Amino acid sequence: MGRNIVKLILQWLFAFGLLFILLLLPREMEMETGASGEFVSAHYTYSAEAHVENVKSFFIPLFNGEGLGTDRYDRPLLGQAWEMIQRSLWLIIPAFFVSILLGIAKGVFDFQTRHGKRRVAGLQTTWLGLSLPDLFFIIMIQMTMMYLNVHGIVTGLKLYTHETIEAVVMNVIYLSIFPMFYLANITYAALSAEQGADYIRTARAKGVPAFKLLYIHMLRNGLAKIFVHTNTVVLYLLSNLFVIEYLTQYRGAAYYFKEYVAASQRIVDGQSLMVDVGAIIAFTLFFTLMILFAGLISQVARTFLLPHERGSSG
Amino acid sequence: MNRHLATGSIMLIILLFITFLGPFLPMVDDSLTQQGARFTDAGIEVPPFPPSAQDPLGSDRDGRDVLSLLVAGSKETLLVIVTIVVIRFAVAAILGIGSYYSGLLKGFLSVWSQLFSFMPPVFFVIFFAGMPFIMFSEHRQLWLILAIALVEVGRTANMIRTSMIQSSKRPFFEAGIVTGCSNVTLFKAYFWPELRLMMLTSFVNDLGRTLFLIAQFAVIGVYLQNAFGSIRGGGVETMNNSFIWPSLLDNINQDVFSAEWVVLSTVGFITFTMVTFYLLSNGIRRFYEERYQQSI
Repeated sequence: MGRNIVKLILQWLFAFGLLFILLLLPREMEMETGASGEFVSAHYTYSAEAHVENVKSFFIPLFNGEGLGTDRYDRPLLGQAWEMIQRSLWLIIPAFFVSILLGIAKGVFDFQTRHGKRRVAGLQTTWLGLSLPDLFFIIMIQMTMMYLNVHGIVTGLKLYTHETIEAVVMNVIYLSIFPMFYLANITYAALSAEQGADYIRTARAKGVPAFKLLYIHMLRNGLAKIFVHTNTVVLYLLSNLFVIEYLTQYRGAAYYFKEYVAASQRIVDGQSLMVDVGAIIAFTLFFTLMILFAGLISQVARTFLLPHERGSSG
Repeated sequence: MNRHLATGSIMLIILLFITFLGPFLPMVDDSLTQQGARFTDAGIEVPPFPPSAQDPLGSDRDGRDVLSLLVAGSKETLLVIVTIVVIRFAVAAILGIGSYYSGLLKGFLSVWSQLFSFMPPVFFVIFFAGMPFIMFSEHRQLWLILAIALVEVGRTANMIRTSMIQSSKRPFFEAGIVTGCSNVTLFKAYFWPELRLMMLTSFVNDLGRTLFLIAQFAVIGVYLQNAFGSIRGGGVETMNNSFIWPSLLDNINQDVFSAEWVVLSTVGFITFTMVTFYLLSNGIRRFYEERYQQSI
């Protein structure tokens, strides 16, 4: 286990380092304009000296204890970035647990109802959830909420903000939809794979009740296979976070990451507007760290759950 | 009866019909005329117009018929997603199959997929789109298509590699080695049949997933196609200039309140296409599984 953890941390360092260096690429461009000042084309030439200078000027305030510098209103970027990251954490952490718990529960339900008519509520809904984009569900929920609001059934909810509890709850629901169905599918597959195993036959022959068999024996062994996928779940959550924060105007890390990067799509007077590189780096650090944690959780969970890894000291 | 394959095929035919014959349909306005205001008996109407006999799916904020926009964009949409997935599978096939034979490629694939495992796809593409050498490049569209293709190459290549390793552990593969097959024959007769099925089903499945990914980018305002517009006073900014389906989600935050037909039709088209590919992919797998079992 220890070796795998060190390996994971080294991979993270490499990935973050690469992103870090790319972010600090010099951004000066040569613009070609027409007779009336209209845009014709822009050329980018890379200069290694400017790049080194960028890296240096990033580290100088950091070592002087000034954090990541300030934004264009002279507010410290570090504090701001941390506040937005906290907002995003309020979505990611609950969504992570909700999708794991509900996903496993749904998978177990699908497994129990795999025969007969009840599979319409079990396997078929999971299939639907996997084939339809979650954007479809989100828009349906949003429109239902609006319908309820217009008809005076549910009113007074503030959903397009980061400041209210109801907005956080709705966003957690939106975020968990796809990972939940994804895990339900994995859980179902893991349980089906255990189905024919020798130890199940032995347990059944000894008269272990079906309930105990499913929850104590099969799920426990299946969990190892399920926890391999926590990595993927976090990747889905983070990827979707960008869409959902944008769709609901939730001002978290993903929302501002996109805003800050997109600011560079405007050039005024030959100068790129991408000035908040410090904050972008802080967000990048945050996103990659979340993935690192997910990898570590997955690694530790496997070590404790997988029978053949449980015994090894490595 | 293979219901998945049958339904998927019918839906694919409908999709292809809309794409290639749609522009000739009577209710589709091929020139995408913009309309400012309409004078009706009730008074003056301004766009976006709700669905009516004139605009079956309503109109957007410029008064353009949504159905016509969707039909006009379908060819480009399909072209973009097919290009992305073809590039992805071409690179993944070289890496995946190559890594089975070459230690160097194996190492490269491992570093590659670990690197990308730290970058959620949407994050990576936003990041990449903001790179200075991409932003105002004339080939921006190609760059972004390449980025979306490459972000999942590691996953696909690993899938190919895993399939080959699994095949090589089967008894029939050992039999092939014992009878003295060359590497080429081994690949053609022992690896390829299973690999082909796996690649075909995930290729079709990936078409749907890629469409969804592009739709997600449109929601947050990252476009594949960009035009450059001058800002008054000397400057430039990038804007969207294509009719690809997801670009209709451009204004989703306002449309969802006041012009919900734009959002619903676009998401409806995207959902229909995704379900088509999902059904086809499952159907193809079942088709081969059934045939394989019958032949034993």
